[in-house]
Formats: sequence, structure tokens, C-alpha cells
Amino acid sequence: MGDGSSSRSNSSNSTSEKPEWLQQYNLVGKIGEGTYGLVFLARTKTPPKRPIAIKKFKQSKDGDGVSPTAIREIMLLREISHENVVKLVNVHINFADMSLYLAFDYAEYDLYEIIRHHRDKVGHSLNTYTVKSLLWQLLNGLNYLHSNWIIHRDLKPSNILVMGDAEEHGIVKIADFGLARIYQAPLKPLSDNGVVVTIWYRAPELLLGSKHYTSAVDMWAVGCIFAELLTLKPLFQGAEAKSSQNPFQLDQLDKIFKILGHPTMDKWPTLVNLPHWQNDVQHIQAHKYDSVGLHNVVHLNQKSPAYDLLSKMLEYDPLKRITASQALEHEYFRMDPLPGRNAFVASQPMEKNVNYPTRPVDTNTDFEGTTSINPPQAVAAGNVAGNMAGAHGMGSRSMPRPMVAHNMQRMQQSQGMMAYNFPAQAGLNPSVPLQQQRGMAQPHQQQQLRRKDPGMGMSGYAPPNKSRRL
Amino acid sequence: MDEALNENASGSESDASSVASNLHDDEIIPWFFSREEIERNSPSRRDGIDLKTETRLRDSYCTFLEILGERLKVPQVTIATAIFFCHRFFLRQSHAKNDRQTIATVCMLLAGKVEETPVTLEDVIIASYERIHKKDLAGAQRKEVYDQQKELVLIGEELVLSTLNFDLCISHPYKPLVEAIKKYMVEDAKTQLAQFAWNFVNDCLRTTLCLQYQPHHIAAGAILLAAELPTVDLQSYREVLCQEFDITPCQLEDIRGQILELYERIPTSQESKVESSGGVAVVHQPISRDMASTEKCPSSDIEGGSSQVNLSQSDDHSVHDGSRSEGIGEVNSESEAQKNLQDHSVGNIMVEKSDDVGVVQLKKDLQLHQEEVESKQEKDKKSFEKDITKIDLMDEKDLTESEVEDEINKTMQTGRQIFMKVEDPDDNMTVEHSEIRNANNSGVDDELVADTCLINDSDL
Repeated sequence: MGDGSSSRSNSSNSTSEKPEWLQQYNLVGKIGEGTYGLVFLARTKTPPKRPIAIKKFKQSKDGDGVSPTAIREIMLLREISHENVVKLVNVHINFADMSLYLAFDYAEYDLYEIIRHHRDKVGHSLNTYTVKSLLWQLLNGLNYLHSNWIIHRDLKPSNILVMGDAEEHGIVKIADFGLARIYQAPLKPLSDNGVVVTIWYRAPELLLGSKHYTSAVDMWAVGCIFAELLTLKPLFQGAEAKSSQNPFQLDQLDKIFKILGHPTMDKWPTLVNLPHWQNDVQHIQAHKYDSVGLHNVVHLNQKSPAYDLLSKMLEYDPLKRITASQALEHEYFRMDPLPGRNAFVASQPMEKNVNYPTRPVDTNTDFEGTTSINPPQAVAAGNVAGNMAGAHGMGSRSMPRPMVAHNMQRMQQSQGMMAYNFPAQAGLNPSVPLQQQRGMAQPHQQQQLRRKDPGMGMSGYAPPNKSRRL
Repeated sequence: MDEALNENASGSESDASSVASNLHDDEIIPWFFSREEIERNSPSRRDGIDLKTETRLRDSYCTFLEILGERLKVPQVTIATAIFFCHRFFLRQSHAKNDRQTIATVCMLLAGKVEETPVTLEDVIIASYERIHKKDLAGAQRKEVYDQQKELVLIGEELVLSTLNFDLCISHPYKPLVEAIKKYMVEDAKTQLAQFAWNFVNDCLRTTLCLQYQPHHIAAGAILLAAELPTVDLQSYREVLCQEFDITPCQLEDIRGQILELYERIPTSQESKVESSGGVAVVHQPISRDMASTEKCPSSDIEGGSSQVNLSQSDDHSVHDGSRSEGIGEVNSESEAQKNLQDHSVGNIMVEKSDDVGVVQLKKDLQLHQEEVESKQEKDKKSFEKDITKIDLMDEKDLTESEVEDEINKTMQTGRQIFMKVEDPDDNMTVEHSEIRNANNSGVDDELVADTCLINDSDL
């Protein structure tokens, strides 16, 4: 694998004072930016020279010290370790401006760019093996998170990374834990924090005003991603209403109902408990839905295992929605081609491998975010390892990005790469030991709590009883 | 492949070696130690702060954080997390070089972020200042204090994050406590036992138990201790708790004993010894059961004796007067040590280890900041002298008041146990409602209050 890095950034930084922790890296350049700061590509100086994505968190907007989002991301990533979850390699503090730098293993690709490449350049869908492998690994990582009481809450293609380096080529990494939460306590709606996340992957119970997040909201997002891998376009591409706190998202619900049909209380008994349901009833009388049918949109046979799995992910009732653990056992993953560890290259390739372009790198930007000279061409901000929450507004998503003309497609090293298939049987999940100080929930409690009814409060969480009795 | 947190790892390794006998190569700091290790190897010990003084300092910042939390109207879990961060901080850094109130202020700011009950930097600084100086601040004064303290607290935040090695994910005993009671306890004992155990969990935040045991083990110890008061079948409780919480009988006894020890900090007097014969009669059955069921734990005899002394004290009002005067005497006798401590810690944060790269940088920043402060103070020496005197007096008062408050809390807790013991069911209902009211007053938001109602109505 060729080293595409440039050393120009080093010369441009020679006049600035480097923090001491930066000495261990060679900075390549900026690869992205988002709500909370910039993301850079760097390489470790010591062998093996690994590519590292460094995500910078500026001091929080309120000037109240370290960004709470950074703290939460660090807090969670320090607790978990799994092959299909992005790895937090290091944390650095820059005392000069009180900013935090999170160093991650760099991932060359993400599903957003892969889908876009197929849509705009390749002209045909991803092959069956790749779709199945990407989906299996995503579910494998998600099952690990849910087993540790972590909800991601912002799953979308740009947050699903795929590794490009030789050792982990084709391995999926779930990224961006700035909005993730441990859900042993009631979680407030994201709108309470003023956080904006892409609405296309939001579960219907949230759109209808449920105040409680469960792991089922992640599974709805996975269903949307699965469909997008098949069709190369977002499944429910609604426009978001941003007028007030927790507004009624009529357009997004419209997009869902037109494909899946209108939900009924027969199929979704707790529907009546959702705050916006009454609004929707009024709206329903003005509209008549002729459901297109999910199978027609994704072009799958209704009797195929793939369609069965997808429809169970997009089940309206979160209590009935398939879990990550159940999905991993689904018949879809037991059929040929079996999913593999390298999502790009099957052990018995039946189709031509697609070579995906690498991320554009702005080599003129230093760690302070300043550009030393004008770049010869405009470089689009790509999706990056450790992706920023809110990095994609609606506008940037719908507009196609210009590709850098000189960017060459990288030759994939397929020789000697040994992919192996996961056996389709019980005990499939790799066992990862937890950190010693983390208390383990009882297995039966995990089962009980994982599929909590969103209409109910978390009765297991006791409020403080701090005052003394007299 | 070395994937350790390079910046923190070197500090972690050298710091860990001073606290634990084992040296860990990876990036994980071992956050659980034995009590002996904690008491013997504390960084404060090397700076001449004895165990008794450190215990008092721990009480002081715990009280400080509880009052700060009440002022800021954050829930109990946030206060518990802030206290936990403070305990871990002083597991690795010395009291002699870090002002406990500044560190506690930073820990509250940090806990607010971690527990998603955010408090603004300004509110934390003002509440802290008002608590330390015992006066409320008006508009112009607020801004002045905020501007003065802001940089110090923000630098402190970086220091605390580094010292904690960004290990910020905290669990507390509350959840396993409630789940176990719902699942195992008989209906008529639930309410009484749950409230006792909950109070024990709150109180033992002041101990180092959370640095020794996992949250669900502490919950087991609190339940066992609570179960003793109504004089229920202790043996069956022990067996259930050991099985459910995966804890050994010795560990369970140790936790129970350390919670009890919290209430025994009231010094014993000769009068209480005279009353001890009555105490034996009162608690004869539990003691004999302890001895019979825990022969493998030699310390159980001590625990039995402790229970006896504790109960006998609560029956003698004169003991409290004696305790108060003796407490004040102790504070006076510690004045030299306190003065020495004050010299080291006035408005300054210094780090314990100089070989941590990040900490070195932080130290430089602090020195610069300190120089700025000194240059300002040189311009007005009279004001400077007044400030020093003021700080000295306030600090001593703070400790004294802390002692008094601790005593009051312990007395209240002891009295509550006796009071609850003789309560009839109707009174229980009344007290339940007052608890809910107290929960509201402590700043719990609506969702949590609703959860309270759910729990009380259906489970407790």
C-alpha cells in the first residue's frame, strides 16, 4: 500500500510552537470538520507508522471548560473494546487553548462515501457479499454496544467506517459516540440539548414524541442503512421541521408512511401513548396513503430472507423490532455468500472488486485550523474517522461533492489477504472482556431491560433520597 | 504494539506504583485497592498529613460538595459522582499540594457534564465562593469573582481530567440496591429496609468504600446493615446477599463494618462504657448470631462490639455534649497542622508528579497564573494581608463547622434508626410522603419525581 502522505504540512508548521504530545506524530493534513471542531490525519513516527485520525474539541461554546460532548465520548470509548467499534488510541490536552484531541485509528472509508461512489461512479449496486458483510459487522458491533447498555443514537452511513489498511482491510468500525449514552436511566430527547442529527434515520417512536430512547432506535437506523446499501439512496428522505423544541416531524413521517403504510394500534399497541399521535390523527384525515410497499422500493422478493430481515428492522412497534442479537442469527446470514471479515474481498470472489477512492486531505491546514497558503483547488470536507455529530446538514448531504482531480484510485492488496467466514451458529459473538471496574449487569436483567417499552418510565432508576428524616 | 495513552500512561505508571504494590504496564489504572493500601500509601501521607487529618479533609470536601449540590440544585447522583471523582483525585494527588475546595469545585463542574445535569461555570464558581466565604454576592461582585476564579477552575479541570486518566464512567450502588430490594425482600419489610439502606449508601459516600469495592457489593453491605435494625432473620439475608451479589461473607462483613465505623467516629467517653452492660442486653441476639454465623471472619467480634457501643451511645444524651466539646478540642489541637497545610494550599494547585509531561505543562501554566496573582497583590499590600487573614479564619471555621455538621448528621442518622425502629405503619406512610417532598426540594426533575412515585406505589 503506497504512502500518499505529503510532508508539506511539516514545513508550514515549523514556525509554530508544537505541544509536546504532538512530537510523536507527523501531521498530514485536515480531513474534515464539523460542529465541534476539526479532524486531522497524522501518522505515528515510531514503527509501525500507523495512520491516526485526530479529532479536535475546542472549548465548549459557553466557555465552561472542556466540551461535555468530548467528555462523554471519551467516557464511553474508555469503557469498550471491540473489533467493530472505533478504537480511541490516545487523548491529548493542549493547555494553551484548553482543547482536547482524541486520537483514533484511521479508517479510510465510510458507508456514505462508498454508497456515493457506487451511485455516481460505478453505476451499479454493491455486490451481495459486501452488503452482507458490512451489515453483519455493523450488527456485530452494535450487539456489543447494546449488551453493554450503550445506545449510539446517531447511526447513519457517515458514522459507519471501513478500514483501509492492510491489516484490518475491510473491517467495519462504528464511530462517533458524542451522542451515545448508557441507558440505565431515562434519556432526554436530543432536542433538549439543541443537538441536530440527521432525521432520515430517526425511529418513528421518536418522531411521534417518545421521550425514552431504547436500543430499538438504533435498529431502525440499521434498517435504513441496509436499504440504502441496496438502493444507493436514503430510504426515508424527509425534510426536518426545526421550528420549536421537539417539533412534530410531519414530512419525515409522511416519507415513512408512504412506503410502509400507516401504523395501526393493532400492530403497535402503545401508539396511543405517544404525544404526537393525536396530531397525526388529524393529519391522517386529510391524507390518504397508498402504500408503495417496502419490497417495491428495495426490489427484494417478499419471500426472501433479506426482505424478511429488513422488514423486521423496520417494524413500527419498538417492542417487536428485531434486536441486534436476533438479527445476527437471522437466516439471511446463513445463506451463501456467507459474511466475511473483509467486507471488500471475499475468500472466493465471484464479482469484480471495486476500488474506492481515498479521502481528500487538505495539507495546508495546521492544528490551529489556519490555512498557510491558498489551496490550488477547493477540497470538500469529507467524512472522517471519529466523525463529528452534526457534520452533515441537509444541504451538504444533497449536494454532490467535487472530487479532487488528481486523486488516484488506490490499488487494493488482495494477494495474501485471508478472509474467513463466521460460522452461522450459536455463540457467534466474539467475547471481549470488560474493564475490571465496570460492574456487570445480571444477564437476565439485560434481557429484561433491553427492550423497555418506550411509553413507560425507567422504574429501575431510583431518585435520590438525600434528605434526612427528623 | 504500544497503544497506551502515552501522555497519561507514564504518569499513571509512576503514580500507580505509589498507591498499589503491582505495577501495571497497560493504560488501565487499577482503581480498586484494599483499605490498608489506601490508608498507608496515600500521596498525602508522604507530605506529613496523617490519617486522621486526611479523614477530616475528606469529610470536609464531602460536606462542601453536598452543600454545593444543594445550591446548584443538581440531583443526588451528580453529587455522588463529584464526590467519587474527588476521592479518586486524592488517591493520586496530595492534599498538601491541592486545595480541596478548588478540586471539589472542579469535580462538581465535571460531574455535571458527565451526568448530563450541566451547571454553568459561573454558577459553580459563585456557589463555591459563597460557600467558602459565607456571604452572598451581588451583581458586580459576581462578575469580579467569576473573572478572578475562572482560569484557575478551568486549569483545574484539565488537571482533574488528567489525574483521573479520563476514566469518567461511574456506577453507584443505588440501582443495584433498588433492584435487589424489589426482587428479594418480603413486602412488609421493603419500605423500612429500603430507606435505611438508601441512607447508608448516601452516608458511606464519605468513606473510601467506593475505592475498595464495586457498587453492587456496597449495596449488599448496606442492605445487610439495614436488615439488622428490624431484627430480622440475618442468616437468610446473608446467604441471599452473598449469592445474589457474588460477594464473599468476609467482604460483606468488611463493608458492613466500614459503614458502621462511620457512625462510630463520635468519640466514646467513660460514661458510655458504664452504659455498655445495658447495650449488651439490648443487642444480645444479633451479636450472638454474628458470632455463630461468621466464625471465619475474626473481625466479626470487633463488629459486634461496635454495634453494642453504637447503640448504647444513642441512649445517653450526655454523650453528645461530651462529644462536641472533645471534637472542638481536637480541632484546636490540630491547629498547627492546619496552619501548615494552609501555607501550602492557599489559592494554588500543584501536582504531585513532575514526570508526567502533561502535568509539567500544567505546572508551568499554574506558575504563570500564580505570578500574575502575586503581581496584582503587590499593588495593594493591605488588601493582600486582609485576604490572608480572612482565608485563614474562614478555613478554620469551615473545618470547625464541618465537624459540627458531621456530628449532627451522625446523630441524626443514629436517632433516625431508633425512631424508625419504633414507628408504626401509619407513621411510615406519612414519612414516605415527606421523603417525596424532600426529593422535590432537592431539585429532582419531574421525570425523576414520577419515577419516585412509580417506585413507591408499586415496589416499595
